[in-house]
Amino acid sequence: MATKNSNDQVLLTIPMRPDMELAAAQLASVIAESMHFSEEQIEEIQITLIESGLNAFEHSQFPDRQVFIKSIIRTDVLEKEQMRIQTIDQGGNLAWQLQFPMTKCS
Amino acid sequence: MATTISNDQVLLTIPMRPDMELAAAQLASVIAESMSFSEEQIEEIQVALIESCINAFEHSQSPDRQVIIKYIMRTDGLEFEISDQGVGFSPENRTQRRASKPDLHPDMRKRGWGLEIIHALMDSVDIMSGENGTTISMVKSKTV
Repeated sequence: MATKNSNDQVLLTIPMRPDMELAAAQLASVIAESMHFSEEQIEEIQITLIESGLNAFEHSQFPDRQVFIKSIIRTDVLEKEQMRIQTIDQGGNLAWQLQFPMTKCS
Repeated sequence: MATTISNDQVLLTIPMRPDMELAAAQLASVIAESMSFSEEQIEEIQVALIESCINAFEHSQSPDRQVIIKYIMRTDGLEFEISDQGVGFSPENRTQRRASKPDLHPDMRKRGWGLEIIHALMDSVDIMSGENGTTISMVKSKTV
């Protein structure tokens, strides 16, 4: 069963195999679109996610061959919505993560 | 942290909020495309997945307000498991209820066809439901 999370999070676990980074990027694109990000921002989110996914695929060398992506839909203290994406791969006792906060255009 | 999956699976957890069913369907579309499904099959998969998610959103009464979707890439097709931790339902009772109400208002008759649509679009559908939630397993087979 999935990790317990709040109602503003989308959790995705993908295997390290071809096209899965594109699947993650497409998912992020739909979420960002529903949050009314601009087209340019959505492209930036997609490219960032593809790059971070490929980085994990190519360099992680972890035995589980999985990447875990957490996309958080959030509203900050200034009531500006943000999308925070964490890309995590893990193996043994090690894990690394990248965070890409994006502030929505007004 | 993430749940462990095998190398032929994708696991998605979405909150029950607007457009998340579209996100799940879009993810399915990319996976199906990578498996060389036809455009028509991909559309059918998307509609079935959207209906499954909306059913869970509207009827599950799940306290955690989440839907968990497992995409399983098989050699002969694509399998989906859509789960919620809601109150569950009885598919048989649901069919009987519809049959016992032939005089439903026309607007009401347009609603509640999600499961029929899913059965029509997918090659196999299995529903397990109880007091701890519902899981719909459905398969779209590859056709040569």
